[in-house]
Amino acid sequence: MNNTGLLVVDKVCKSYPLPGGGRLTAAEDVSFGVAPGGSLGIVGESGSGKTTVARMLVGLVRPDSGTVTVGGTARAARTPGRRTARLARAREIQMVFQDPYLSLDPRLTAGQCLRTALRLHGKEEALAGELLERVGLGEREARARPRQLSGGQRQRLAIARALAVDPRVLVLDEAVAALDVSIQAQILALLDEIRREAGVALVFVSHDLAVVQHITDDVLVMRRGRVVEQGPTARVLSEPSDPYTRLLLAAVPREGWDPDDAVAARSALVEATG
Amino acid sequence: MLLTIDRLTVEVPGTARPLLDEVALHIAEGEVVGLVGESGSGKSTTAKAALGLLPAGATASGSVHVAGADVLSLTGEELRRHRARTVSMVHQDPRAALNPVRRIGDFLLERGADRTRAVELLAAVGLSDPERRMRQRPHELSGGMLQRVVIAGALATPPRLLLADEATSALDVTTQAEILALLRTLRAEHGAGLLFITHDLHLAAAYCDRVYVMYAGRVVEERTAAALFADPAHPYTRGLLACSPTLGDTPRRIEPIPGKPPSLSDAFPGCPFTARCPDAQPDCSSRHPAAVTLPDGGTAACHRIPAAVPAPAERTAP
Repeated sequence: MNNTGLLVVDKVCKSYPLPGGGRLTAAEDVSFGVAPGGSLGIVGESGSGKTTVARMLVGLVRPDSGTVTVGGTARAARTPGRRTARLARAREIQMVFQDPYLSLDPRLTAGQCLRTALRLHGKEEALAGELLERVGLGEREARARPRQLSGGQRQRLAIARALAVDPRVLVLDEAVAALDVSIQAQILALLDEIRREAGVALVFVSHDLAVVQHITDDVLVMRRGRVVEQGPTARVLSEPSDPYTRLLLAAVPREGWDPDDAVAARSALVEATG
Repeated sequence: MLLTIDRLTVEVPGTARPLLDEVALHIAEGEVVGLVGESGSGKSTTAKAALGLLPAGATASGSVHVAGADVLSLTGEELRRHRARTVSMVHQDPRAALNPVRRIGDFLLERGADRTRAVELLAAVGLSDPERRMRQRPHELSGGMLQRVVIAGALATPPRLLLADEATSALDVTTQAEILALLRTLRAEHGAGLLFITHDLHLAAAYCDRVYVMYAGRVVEERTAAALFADPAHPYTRGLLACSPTLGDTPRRIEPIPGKPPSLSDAFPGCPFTARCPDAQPDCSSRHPAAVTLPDGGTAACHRIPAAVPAPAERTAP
């Protein structure tokens, strides 16, 4: 799966120096590929390196080594200086963060926010209304500033802004984690639709295995910066081969669930790998 | 009963509807009770009422009894004792409960534990090297470890009732499972009651003995956990179950509930769920549904549910 697809990530690594010597490996030899309209999940606990990988895709973190390729062209490690090149780069991959409040300009209304993005990329500003409608925001929300929107509405706006530039890949970092379940379901349905209709490839970073099972085709399980298991989501989540994947699965509440199972799975993992 | 909340209505000025509308809830000793709902449904307000803590400027009617004491009429020393001894609350963000410039040990000593007991508590909540933790400050510990510290603090004087308000929502699922296993052991040892507040219906149904589902300040369904999975009665409960993805061999379509959770500026003359309800009939929006007892002993408040024991109000309503 590594050499085909729209987004190809080849052996990216990132480590950070630790105080007092030594280095922390945030991501080591992470490779994957996503086809147009495909969807890949990255799961793991906090500190597993899943956000580092997501940030390397968009260029917020520069990989120590390895390449990220979109549609056959490798992404430069540095953001290009020329305006047209910078905008073209932005159209390759867009990212939606967990807390949309921090990534939206508090002074702009939802409508202005989208029109700014559209204008910057030389598109018709009139498309803003269409985008808002697509993510289920109405006239009233178009005139509201981020502060006046609810968490779910802000997240829709963040998605609409990402879609405004017509990206080929959409990276979502815990983008539905903070939402009410009924709103989360609406956003998941929206993402499914975007994927099928516009052929946008999704990279979905999440700690929630049930959501990942629902929305992704392939999955990458990360622990301590390493990929411990990767493959089709259905297989990895039904027949996990790594004890860490088994621990993550044992921790998911369901009918007849016993939290002690997860505690036992943790002990098994510690015994197996330390 | 350890906690009995009877027809509690809490109103604050400037809102179109009450924060809580005739909420009734009870917890027996040693029972784990779940309280589920979306943002603004009144879960936290309900839990805080057990501490005698109402929003500023609120007026309340109804009653809250914890271990025989009428909480809403407690004042002064009695109220302090109630909050310090009888009931403890654990919030979502442990960093908000801990003073960043004080040591972990100080946090426990402040709550009435002596040094030996404090070390024991830290060990009991599963922290390694408790002696060293006593001397550490909050920034040196991870979120999961801090939540264990807060739980240790809540148990410093073993409470009769523990309120956990989204206490595990911000943690990794693996850490969540460990904390939940811990809370269950502690409940078994002390016989305390636990009110477990969460937005995750699957988690509540998997972990609790009984579950209350709240919507727009009202309890819409109360069931045993098993019945909730097997046969949810209220359309909102069914909607919540249908819209949350679950792990399973056969992936099913999730069906979003249309619309959004009601805010405090929405008033409802009838059933608050009408606008989002797939089973709504024209008369649903004009009168409030009374809670009806279901054949298995649970209750649900919906006009479309045939009552096993019809409530008198239902018969006389037009």
